[in-house]
Amino acid sequence: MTTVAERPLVAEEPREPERARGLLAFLTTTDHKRIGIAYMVTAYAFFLVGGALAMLIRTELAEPGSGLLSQGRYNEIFTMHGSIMLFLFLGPFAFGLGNYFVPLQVGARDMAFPRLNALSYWFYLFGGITMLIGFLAADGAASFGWTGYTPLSSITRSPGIGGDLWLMAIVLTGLSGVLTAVNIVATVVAMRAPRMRMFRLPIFTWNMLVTSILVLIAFPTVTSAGVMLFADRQFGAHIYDPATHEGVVGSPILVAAPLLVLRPPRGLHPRAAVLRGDHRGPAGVLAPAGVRLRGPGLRARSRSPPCRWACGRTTLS
Amino acid sequence: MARIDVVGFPWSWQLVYRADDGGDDLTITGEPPGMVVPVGQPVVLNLVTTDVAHSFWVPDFLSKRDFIPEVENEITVTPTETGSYVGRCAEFCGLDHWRMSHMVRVVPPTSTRPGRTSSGTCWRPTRG
Repeated sequence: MTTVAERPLVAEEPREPERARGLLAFLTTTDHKRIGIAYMVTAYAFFLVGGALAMLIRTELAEPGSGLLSQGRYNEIFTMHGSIMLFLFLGPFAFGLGNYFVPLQVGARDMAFPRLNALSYWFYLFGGITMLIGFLAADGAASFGWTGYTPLSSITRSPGIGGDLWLMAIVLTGLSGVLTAVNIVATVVAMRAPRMRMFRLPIFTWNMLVTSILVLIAFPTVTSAGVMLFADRQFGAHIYDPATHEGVVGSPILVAAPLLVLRPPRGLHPRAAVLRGDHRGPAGVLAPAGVRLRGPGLRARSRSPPCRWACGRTTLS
Repeated sequence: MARIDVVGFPWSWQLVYRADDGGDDLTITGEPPGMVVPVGQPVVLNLVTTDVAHSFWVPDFLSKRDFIPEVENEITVTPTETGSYVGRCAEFCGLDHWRMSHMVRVVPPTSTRPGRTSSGTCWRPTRG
Protein backbone atom coordinates (compact mmCIF):
# COMPACT_ATOMS: atom_id res chain seq x y z
CA MET A 1 0.00 0.00 0.00
CA THR A 2 1.35 3.29 -0.94
CA THR A 3 0.42 6.74 0.08
CA VAL A 4 2.25 8.45 -2.69
CA ALA A 5 -0.15 10.34 -4.85
CA GLU A 6 -0.29 9.56 -8.47
CA ARG A 7 1.80 11.78 -10.61
CA PRO A 8 1.54 12.36 -14.27
CA LEU A 9 4.30 10.70 -16.20
CA VAL A 10 5.15 13.82 -18.11
CA ALA A 11 5.82 17.07 -16.37
CA GLU A 12 3.16 19.58 -17.14
CA GLU A 13 4.33 22.08 -19.69
CA PRO A 14 4.70 25.56 -18.30
CA ARG A 15 1.73 27.54 -19.43
CA GLU A 16 2.39 30.16 -21.98
CA PRO A 17 2.14 33.61 -20.48
CA GLU A 18 -1.09 35.25 -21.41
CA ARG A 19 -0.86 37.41 -24.44
CA ALA A 20 -0.89 41.08 -23.61
CA ARG A 21 -3.66 43.09 -25.12
CA GLY A 22 -4.31 46.66 -25.98
CA LEU A 23 -1.90 49.24 -24.69
CA LEU A 24 0.23 46.68 -22.88
CA ALA A 25 0.68 44.77 -26.11
CA PHE A 26 1.82 47.93 -27.82
CA LEU A 27 4.21 48.77 -25.00
CA THR A 28 5.83 45.35 -24.76
CA THR A 29 5.81 44.06 -28.31
CA THR A 30 8.88 42.96 -30.17
CA ASP A 31 6.89 41.79 -33.17
CA HIS A 32 8.14 43.28 -36.40
CA LYS A 33 4.68 43.85 -37.82
CA ARG A 34 3.41 45.65 -34.77
CA ILE A 35 6.54 47.76 -34.54
CA GLY A 36 6.30 48.49 -38.24
CA ILE A 37 2.73 49.65 -37.87
CA ALA A 38 3.64 51.68 -34.79
CA TYR A 39 6.42 53.33 -36.80
CA MET A 40 4.09 54.22 -39.64
CA VAL A 41 1.29 55.50 -37.43
CA THR A 42 3.69 57.60 -35.38
CA ALA A 43 5.43 58.90 -38.47
CA TYR A 44 2.11 59.85 -39.98
CA ALA A 45 1.14 61.70 -36.82
CA PHE A 46 4.38 63.68 -36.99
CA PHE A 47 3.72 64.23 -40.69
CA LEU A 48 0.41 65.88 -39.80
CA VAL A 49 2.14 68.08 -37.23
CA GLY A 50 4.82 69.06 -39.77
CA GLY A 51 2.11 69.75 -42.35
CA ALA A 52 0.24 71.97 -39.90
CA LEU A 53 3.45 73.94 -39.37
CA ALA A 54 3.84 74.27 -43.13
CA MET A 55 0.32 75.69 -43.31
CA LEU A 56 1.28 78.24 -40.66
CA ILE A 57 4.31 79.23 -42.72
CA ARG A 58 2.23 79.68 -45.86
CA THR A 59 -0.46 81.59 -43.99
CA GLU A 60 2.12 84.01 -42.64
CA LEU A 61 3.68 84.39 -46.09
CA ALA A 62 0.31 85.10 -47.68
CA GLU A 63 0.25 88.34 -45.71
CA PRO A 64 3.78 88.93 -44.42
CA GLY A 65 3.95 90.99 -41.28
CA SER A 66 0.28 90.55 -40.54
CA GLY A 67 1.12 89.63 -36.98
CA LEU A 68 0.04 86.02 -37.23
CA LEU A 69 3.51 84.92 -36.21
CA SER A 70 6.29 86.95 -34.65
CA GLN A 71 9.70 86.80 -36.33
CA GLY A 72 11.08 84.48 -33.69
CA ARG A 73 8.07 82.22 -33.80
CA TYR A 74 8.27 82.07 -37.58
CA ASN A 75 11.91 80.96 -37.33
CA GLU A 76 10.95 78.29 -34.82
CA ILE A 77 8.20 77.04 -37.05
CA PHE A 78 10.22 76.63 -40.22
CA THR A 79 13.03 75.03 -38.24
CA MET A 80 10.66 72.55 -36.66
CA HIS A 81 8.83 71.93 -39.93
CA GLY A 82 12.07 70.92 -41.64
CA SER A 83 13.27 68.88 -38.70
CA ILE A 84 10.00 67.05 -38.26
CA MET A 85 9.61 66.20 -41.91
CA LEU A 86 13.19 65.00 -42.29
CA PHE A 87 13.97 63.36 -39.00
CA LEU A 88 10.54 62.27 -37.79
CA PHE A 89 8.61 61.46 -40.94
CA LEU A 90 10.51 60.53 -44.08
CA GLY A 91 13.02 58.07 -42.68
CA PRO A 92 10.91 56.48 -39.96
CA PHE A 93 7.98 55.94 -42.29
CA ALA A 94 10.18 54.04 -44.71
CA PHE A 95 11.66 52.09 -41.84
CA GLY A 96 8.13 51.22 -40.75
CA LEU A 97 7.49 49.73 -44.17
CA GLY A 98 10.82 47.94 -43.98
CA ASN A 99 10.05 46.57 -40.55
CA TYR A 100 6.78 45.18 -41.74
CA PHE A 101 7.81 43.75 -45.07
CA VAL A 102 11.50 42.85 -44.98
CA PRO A 103 11.16 39.85 -42.63
CA LEU A 104 8.19 38.63 -44.66
CA GLN A 105 10.04 39.01 -47.92
CA VAL A 106 13.22 37.30 -46.78
CA GLY A 107 11.26 34.54 -45.08
CA ALA A 108 12.28 35.23 -41.49
CA ARG A 109 10.12 34.94 -38.39
CA ASP A 110 11.11 38.38 -37.22
CA MET A 111 13.88 40.90 -37.53
CA ALA A 112 17.35 39.73 -36.59
CA PHE A 113 17.25 41.65 -33.30
CA PRO A 114 13.62 42.04 -32.22
CA ARG A 115 14.34 43.80 -28.94
CA LEU A 116 16.75 46.18 -30.56
CA ASN A 117 13.98 46.85 -33.01
CA ALA A 118 11.59 47.77 -30.21
CA LEU A 119 14.28 49.93 -28.64
CA SER A 120 14.72 51.78 -31.94
CA TYR A 121 11.05 52.53 -32.04
CA TRP A 122 11.01 53.91 -28.51
CA PHE A 123 14.08 56.01 -29.19
CA TYR A 124 12.29 57.37 -32.21
CA LEU A 125 8.99 58.06 -30.45
CA PHE A 126 10.58 59.80 -27.46
CA GLY A 127 13.04 61.61 -29.69
CA GLY A 128 10.11 63.04 -31.61
CA ILE A 129 8.30 64.01 -28.43
CA THR A 130 11.48 65.62 -27.13
CA MET A 131 11.70 67.71 -30.27
CA LEU A 132 8.09 68.86 -30.08
CA ILE A 133 8.32 69.67 -26.38
CA GLY A 134 10.53 72.56 -27.43
CA PHE A 135 7.38 74.51 -28.22
CA LEU A 136 6.54 74.44 -24.52
CA ALA A 137 9.90 75.91 -23.50
CA ALA A 138 9.96 79.49 -22.30
CA ASP A 139 12.11 80.64 -25.23
CA GLY A 140 10.30 78.46 -27.72
CA ALA A 141 11.56 75.65 -29.88
CA ALA A 142 14.84 75.54 -31.77
CA SER A 143 15.04 78.42 -34.22
CA PHE A 144 18.39 78.06 -35.96
CA GLY A 145 17.21 76.17 -39.04
CA TRP A 146 17.13 72.43 -39.40
CA THR A 147 20.80 72.38 -40.43
CA GLY A 148 21.76 73.75 -37.01
CA TYR A 149 24.87 75.54 -38.24
CA THR A 150 27.22 76.94 -35.67
CA PRO A 151 27.84 79.60 -34.47
CA LEU A 152 24.16 80.43 -34.79
CA SER A 153 23.26 77.29 -32.86
CA SER A 154 25.83 77.96 -30.13
CA ILE A 155 24.69 78.66 -26.61
CA THR A 156 25.46 82.37 -26.88
CA ARG A 157 23.49 82.88 -30.08
CA SER A 158 20.61 80.53 -29.28
CA PRO A 159 20.45 80.28 -25.51
CA GLY A 160 16.99 78.74 -25.38
CA ILE A 161 16.48 75.25 -24.05
CA GLY A 162 14.57 74.45 -27.24
CA GLY A 163 17.92 74.07 -28.99
CA ASP A 164 19.06 71.47 -26.48
CA LEU A 165 15.82 69.56 -26.80
CA TRP A 166 16.21 69.65 -30.57
CA LEU A 167 19.75 68.28 -30.31
CA MET A 168 18.70 65.48 -27.99
CA ALA A 169 15.96 64.63 -30.45
CA ILE A 170 18.49 64.49 -33.28
CA VAL A 171 20.65 62.15 -31.22
CA LEU A 172 17.75 59.88 -30.26
CA THR A 173 16.22 59.65 -33.72
CA GLY A 174 19.66 59.29 -35.30
CA LEU A 175 20.45 56.43 -32.96
CA SER A 176 17.11 54.89 -33.77
CA GLY A 177 17.88 55.10 -37.48
CA VAL A 178 21.31 53.53 -37.07
CA LEU A 179 19.98 50.65 -34.98
CA THR A 180 17.15 49.98 -37.40
CA ALA A 181 19.57 50.01 -40.32
CA VAL A 182 21.80 47.50 -38.52
CA ASN A 183 18.75 45.37 -37.94
CA ILE A 184 17.63 45.43 -41.55
CA VAL A 185 21.08 44.65 -42.90
CA ALA A 186 21.46 41.76 -40.47
CA THR A 187 18.00 40.47 -41.32
CA VAL A 188 18.56 40.56 -45.04
CA VAL A 189 22.04 39.10 -44.91
CA ALA A 190 21.63 36.48 -42.23
CA MET A 191 17.96 35.65 -41.81
CA ARG A 192 16.95 34.63 -45.30
CA ALA A 193 15.01 31.41 -45.64
CA PRO A 194 16.84 28.43 -47.16
CA ARG A 195 17.34 28.89 -50.90
CA MET A 196 16.24 32.52 -50.73
CA ARG A 197 19.27 33.84 -52.50
CA MET A 198 20.05 37.52 -52.67
CA PHE A 199 18.94 37.75 -56.29
CA ARG A 200 15.59 36.23 -55.49
CA LEU A 201 14.79 38.96 -53.02
CA PRO A 202 12.07 41.37 -54.08
CA ILE A 203 13.18 44.78 -55.21
CA PHE A 204 11.72 46.39 -52.10
CA THR A 205 13.97 44.43 -49.79
CA TRP A 206 16.96 45.20 -51.96
CA ASN A 207 16.08 48.83 -51.70
CA MET A 208 15.78 48.71 -47.93
CA LEU A 209 19.14 46.97 -47.78
CA VAL A 210 20.88 49.60 -49.88
CA THR A 211 19.14 52.40 -48.00
CA SER A 212 20.18 50.89 -44.69
CA ILE A 213 23.79 50.76 -45.81
CA LEU A 214 23.56 54.43 -46.82
CA VAL A 215 22.01 55.19 -43.45
CA LEU A 216 24.91 53.47 -41.74
CA ILE A 217 27.27 55.76 -43.62
CA ALA A 218 25.34 59.01 -43.16
CA PHE A 219 23.55 58.91 -39.82
CA PRO A 220 26.41 58.28 -37.40
CA THR A 221 28.12 61.45 -38.57
CA VAL A 222 25.00 63.54 -38.12
CA THR A 223 24.26 61.96 -34.75
CA SER A 224 27.75 62.48 -33.42
CA ALA A 225 27.72 66.07 -34.68
CA GLY A 226 24.60 66.52 -32.55
CA VAL A 227 26.34 65.04 -29.51
CA MET A 228 29.33 67.33 -29.99
CA LEU A 229 27.15 70.39 -30.41
CA PHE A 230 25.31 69.46 -27.24
CA ALA A 231 28.66 69.16 -25.46
CA ASP A 232 29.58 72.57 -26.81
CA ARG A 233 26.40 74.12 -25.53
CA GLN A 234 26.20 72.46 -22.13
CA PHE A 235 29.75 71.55 -21.14
CA GLY A 236 31.77 74.25 -22.89
CA ALA A 237 33.59 71.84 -25.17
CA HIS A 238 34.45 74.59 -27.70
CA ILE A 239 34.50 72.08 -30.54
CA TYR A 240 32.76 74.48 -32.89
CA ASP A 241 34.06 77.67 -31.34
CA PRO A 242 36.31 79.61 -33.73
CA ALA A 243 37.98 81.47 -30.86
CA THR A 244 41.20 80.13 -29.39
CA HIS A 245 41.02 78.54 -25.97
CA GLU A 246 44.34 77.62 -24.37
CA GLY A 247 45.92 77.20 -27.75
CA VAL A 248 43.16 75.02 -29.14
CA VAL A 249 41.04 76.32 -31.96
CA GLY A 250 37.65 74.90 -32.77
CA SER A 251 35.96 75.36 -36.07
CA PRO A 252 32.36 76.12 -36.92
CA ILE A 253 32.79 74.25 -40.19
CA LEU A 254 32.90 71.01 -38.23
CA VAL A 255 29.16 71.05 -37.81
CA ALA A 256 28.62 71.56 -41.50
CA ALA A 257 31.15 68.92 -42.46
CA PRO A 258 29.37 65.93 -40.95
CA LEU A 259 26.20 67.18 -42.56
CA LEU A 260 27.77 67.77 -45.92
CA VAL A 261 30.75 65.45 -46.14
CA LEU A 262 28.69 62.87 -47.94
CA ARG A 263 26.87 65.34 -50.09
CA PRO A 264 26.34 63.88 -53.50
CA PRO A 265 27.25 66.02 -56.52
CA ARG A 266 23.75 67.24 -57.11
CA GLY A 267 23.73 69.05 -53.83
CA LEU A 268 21.42 66.90 -51.81
CA HIS A 269 21.99 66.56 -48.13
CA PRO A 270 23.03 62.95 -47.40
CA ARG A 271 19.98 62.55 -45.30
CA ALA A 272 17.80 63.88 -48.07
CA ALA A 273 19.53 61.61 -50.56
CA VAL A 274 19.02 58.62 -48.31
CA LEU A 275 15.41 59.52 -47.78
CA ARG A 276 14.79 60.04 -51.44
CA GLY A 277 16.26 56.63 -52.05
CA ASP A 278 14.29 54.79 -49.46
CA HIS A 279 10.95 55.78 -50.87
CA ARG A 280 11.88 54.45 -54.24
CA GLY A 281 11.52 50.96 -52.85
CA PRO A 282 7.79 51.15 -52.23
CA ALA A 283 7.41 53.17 -55.41
CA GLY A 284 9.20 50.48 -57.36
CA VAL A 285 6.70 47.95 -56.08
CA LEU A 286 3.50 49.96 -56.10
CA ALA A 287 3.76 51.81 -59.38
CA PRO A 288 4.17 48.72 -61.58
CA ALA A 289 1.49 46.88 -59.62
CA GLY A 290 -0.90 49.75 -60.24
CA VAL A 291 -0.54 49.52 -63.99
CA ARG A 292 -0.08 45.77 -64.13
CA LEU A 293 3.37 45.90 -65.57
CA ARG A 294 6.54 44.38 -64.36
CA GLY A 295 8.58 47.04 -62.69
CA PRO A 296 12.22 47.85 -63.15
CA GLY A 297 13.59 44.38 -62.95
CA LEU A 298 15.64 43.20 -60.08
CA ARG A 299 17.87 41.53 -62.61
CA ALA A 300 18.47 44.79 -64.39
CA ARG A 301 19.29 46.50 -61.16
CA SER A 302 21.39 43.70 -59.83
CA ARG A 303 23.41 43.71 -63.03
CA SER A 304 24.50 47.25 -62.25
CA PRO A 305 28.23 47.44 -61.51
CA PRO A 306 27.98 48.17 -57.77
CA CYS A 307 25.71 45.23 -57.21
CA ARG A 308 27.88 42.95 -59.27
CA TRP A 309 30.87 44.12 -57.37
CA ALA A 310 29.24 43.58 -54.00
CA CYS A 311 27.68 40.26 -54.82
CA GLY A 312 30.49 38.89 -56.92
CA ARG A 313 33.02 39.11 -54.17
CA THR A 314 31.03 37.88 -51.25
CA THR A 315 28.97 34.86 -50.52
CA LEU A 316 25.82 36.94 -50.44
CA SER A 317 24.27 35.22 -53.40
CA MET B 1 41.62 94.90 -59.60
CA ALA B 2 39.21 96.31 -57.11
CA ARG B 3 39.11 94.57 -53.76
CA ILE B 4 36.21 94.99 -51.44
CA ASP B 5 35.90 93.56 -47.96
CA VAL B 6 32.32 92.55 -47.39
CA VAL B 7 31.77 92.22 -43.66
CA GLY B 8 28.60 90.43 -42.71
CA PHE B 9 27.09 90.85 -39.27
CA PRO B 10 23.61 90.37 -37.83
CA TRP B 11 21.83 91.72 -39.74
CA SER B 12 23.47 93.91 -42.33
CA TRP B 13 26.72 94.42 -44.19
CA GLN B 14 29.67 96.72 -44.08
CA LEU B 15 31.63 97.31 -47.26
CA VAL B 16 35.27 98.37 -47.11
CA TYR B 17 36.95 99.44 -50.31
CA ARG B 18 40.61 98.65 -49.92
CA ALA B 19 42.72 101.44 -51.33
CA ASP B 20 45.69 99.79 -53.00
CA ASP B 21 47.28 103.11 -53.89
CA GLY B 22 47.96 104.25 -50.34
CA GLY B 23 44.79 106.26 -49.96
CA ASP B 24 42.22 105.89 -47.25
CA ASP B 25 39.96 102.91 -47.14
CA LEU B 26 36.37 103.76 -47.81
CA THR B 27 33.84 102.19 -45.50
CA ILE B 28 30.24 102.03 -46.49
CA THR B 29 27.34 101.17 -44.26
CA GLY B 30 23.70 101.97 -44.64
CA GLU B 31 20.26 100.51 -44.73
CA PRO B 32 20.77 98.81 -47.07
CA PRO B 33 24.43 99.44 -47.84
CA GLY B 34 25.20 100.12 -51.47
CA MET B 35 28.12 98.66 -53.34
CA VAL B 36 29.42 100.30 -56.50
CA VAL B 37 31.42 98.20 -58.92
CA PRO B 38 32.68 98.88 -62.44
CA VAL B 39 31.17 97.02 -65.36
CA GLY B 40 33.37 94.61 -67.27
CA GLN B 41 36.13 94.43 -64.67
CA PRO B 42 36.70 91.66 -62.16
CA VAL B 43 36.10 92.60 -58.57
CA VAL B 44 37.35 90.50 -55.68
CA LEU B 45 35.05 90.39 -52.70
CA ASN B 46 36.59 89.19 -49.44
CA LEU B 47 33.83 87.68 -47.39
CA VAL B 48 34.46 88.31 -43.71
CA THR B 49 32.34 87.49 -40.70
CA THR B 50 33.17 87.58 -37.04
CA ASP B 51 29.93 86.17 -35.73
CA VAL B 52 27.62 83.72 -37.49
CA ALA B 53 27.54 82.31 -40.98
CA HIS B 54 26.06 84.43 -43.75
CA SER B 55 26.03 84.02 -47.48
CA PHE B 56 26.74 86.54 -50.23
CA TRP B 57 24.14 86.18 -52.87
CA VAL B 58 23.19 88.57 -55.62
CA PRO B 59 20.77 86.50 -57.66
CA ASP B 60 21.68 88.28 -60.89
CA PHE B 61 25.35 87.41 -60.41
CA LEU B 62 24.51 83.72 -60.65
CA SER B 63 26.91 82.93 -57.85
CA LYS B 64 26.81 82.60 -54.13
CA ARG B 65 29.34 82.01 -51.38
CA ASP B 66 29.21 81.57 -47.64
CA PHE B 67 30.70 83.67 -44.90
CA ILE B 68 32.13 81.40 -42.22
CA PRO B 69 33.96 82.63 -39.12
CA GLU B 70 37.71 82.02 -39.33
CA VAL B 71 37.41 80.85 -42.91
CA GLU B 72 38.74 83.14 -45.62
CA ASN B 73 36.28 83.04 -48.44
CA GLU B 74 36.34 85.27 -51.44
CA ILE B 75 34.34 85.56 -54.59
CA THR B 76 35.32 87.19 -57.84
CA VAL B 77 32.62 88.70 -59.97
CA THR B 78 32.81 90.40 -63.34
CA PRO B 79 29.56 92.27 -63.97
CA THR B 80 28.63 92.49 -67.62
CA GLU B 81 25.70 94.91 -67.51
CA THR B 82 25.20 98.18 -65.76
CA GLY B 83 22.28 98.56 -63.45
CA SER B 84 21.15 98.13 -59.89
CA TYR B 85 20.88 94.73 -58.31
CA VAL B 86 19.72 93.59 -54.93
CA GLY B 87 21.69 91.13 -52.86
CA ARG B 88 20.38 89.11 -49.97
CA CYS B 89 21.87 87.03 -47.22
CA ALA B 90 21.33 83.42 -48.22
CA GLU B 91 22.36 81.63 -45.04
CA PHE B 92 19.87 81.78 -42.22
CA CYS B 93 21.53 83.94 -39.57
CA GLY B 94 18.93 84.69 -36.95
CA LEU B 95 16.02 86.91 -36.12
CA ASP B 96 16.27 89.63 -38.76
CA HIS B 97 17.91 87.50 -41.45
CA TRP B 98 14.98 88.23 -43.76
CA ARG B 99 15.83 91.90 -44.05
CA MET B 100 19.57 91.53 -44.45
CA SER B 101 20.04 92.86 -47.95
CA HIS B 102 22.33 95.19 -49.86
CA MET B 103 22.33 96.97 -53.19
CA VAL B 104 24.91 96.57 -55.92
CA ARG B 105 25.20 99.22 -58.56
CA VAL B 106 27.20 98.40 -61.65
CA VAL B 107 28.49 101.58 -63.29
CA PRO B 108 30.52 102.41 -66.42
CA PRO B 109 34.24 101.87 -65.84
CA THR B 110 35.06 105.58 -66.04
CA SER B 111 33.97 105.80 -62.47
CA THR B 112 35.65 102.87 -60.80
CA ARG B 113 36.24 104.62 -57.56
CA PRO B 114 33.42 104.98 -55.15
CA GLY B 115 33.34 108.12 -53.10
CA ARG B 116 31.20 110.30 -51.02
CA THR B 117 29.17 113.03 -52.56
CA SER B 118 28.14 116.23 -50.88
CA SER B 119 24.82 114.75 -49.90
CA GLY B 120 26.64 112.06 -47.95
CA THR B 121 25.47 109.17 -50.05
CA CYS B 122 27.90 106.64 -51.33
CA TRP B 123 25.89 105.77 -54.37
CA ARG B 124 27.47 108.07 -56.89
CA PRO B 125 31.11 107.30 -57.41
CA THR B 126 33.59 110.05 -58.15
CA ARG B 127 35.86 109.86 -61.11
CA GLY B 128 39.08 108.12 -60.27
